[in-house]
Amino acid sequence: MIFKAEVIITPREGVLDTQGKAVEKTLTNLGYKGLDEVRVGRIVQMDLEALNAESALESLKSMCQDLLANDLIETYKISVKEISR
Amino acid sequence: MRTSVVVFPGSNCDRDVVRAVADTLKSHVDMIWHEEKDFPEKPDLVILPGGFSYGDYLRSGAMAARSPIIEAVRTHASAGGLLLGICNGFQVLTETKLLPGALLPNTSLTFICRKCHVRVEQTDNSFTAGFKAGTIVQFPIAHHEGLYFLPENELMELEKNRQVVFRYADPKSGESGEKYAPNGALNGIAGICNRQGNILGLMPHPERATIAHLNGGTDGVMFWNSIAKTFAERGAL
Repeated sequence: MIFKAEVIITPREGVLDTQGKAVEKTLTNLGYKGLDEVRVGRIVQMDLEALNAESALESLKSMCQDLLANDLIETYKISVKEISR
Repeated sequence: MRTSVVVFPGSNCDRDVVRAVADTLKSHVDMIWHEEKDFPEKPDLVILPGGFSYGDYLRSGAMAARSPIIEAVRTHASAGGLLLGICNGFQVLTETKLLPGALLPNTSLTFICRKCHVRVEQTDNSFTAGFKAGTIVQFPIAHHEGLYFLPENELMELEKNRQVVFRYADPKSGESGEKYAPNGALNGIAGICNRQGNILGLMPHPERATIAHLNGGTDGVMFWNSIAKTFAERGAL
């Protein structure tokens, strides 16, 4: 089975996110109100072949631990969607 | 004495380091491509130089930290060999977890390239043993991700264990600390070592302050001489 996978990586709570702060300030300057805790992260997308959704998720988690995220400063969310059998 | 300088795709301070080390330490220097699995000859000192390894993709130093040569770098350091990471090399060391913490984007969100002053905070390691504690040196910095970060409890631990080796400082008052850090580094930290004192990472570039006519000053010579002292005591020079 082939899955369309997406990993969203964001700065961990309590870690200074200078980009998020700058974006928040600029949005506020543009007149947007009521926003707080703006965080800027990144998205990694891939097509992944796996036996089932469970093993795809497991493999992606391992990729996050090995390379995609730095657990000291970042957290991640993984999602997978089957695109073919 | 033998030094190995690891070269990653995107390293750009490798030749500066080779020149600085060859001139001051009178060391034989090998340049080792990151795809090698081992050092051709056993080095006494391994240096991860500055630059933009892998274009800083994903996170600075992240991809370089997973290069084939890194296993040999780990083996070298775990046997007590000296391992030095400068700028991007420091980022690689934190990504390998050989040193604690992470280097985040500067608070200014700009690339900062200028001369700056750091104070030698402690001399109880293999790299700054030749300094008098409190000495202030001028080394240039050139980075976008230089804000040293470590969660509060671990930061206290790092300070308690005397692992903060260099801190940004004011040359007039002799004070050091966060307010003198051009990048917002926590506690003004510019360089740290591991508990054993054989692995050092720092953001400033001593190799750019080694050759007088390059206008970066010559305070870097004091740093290389300090390392030379360690090797002289070991009988390796």
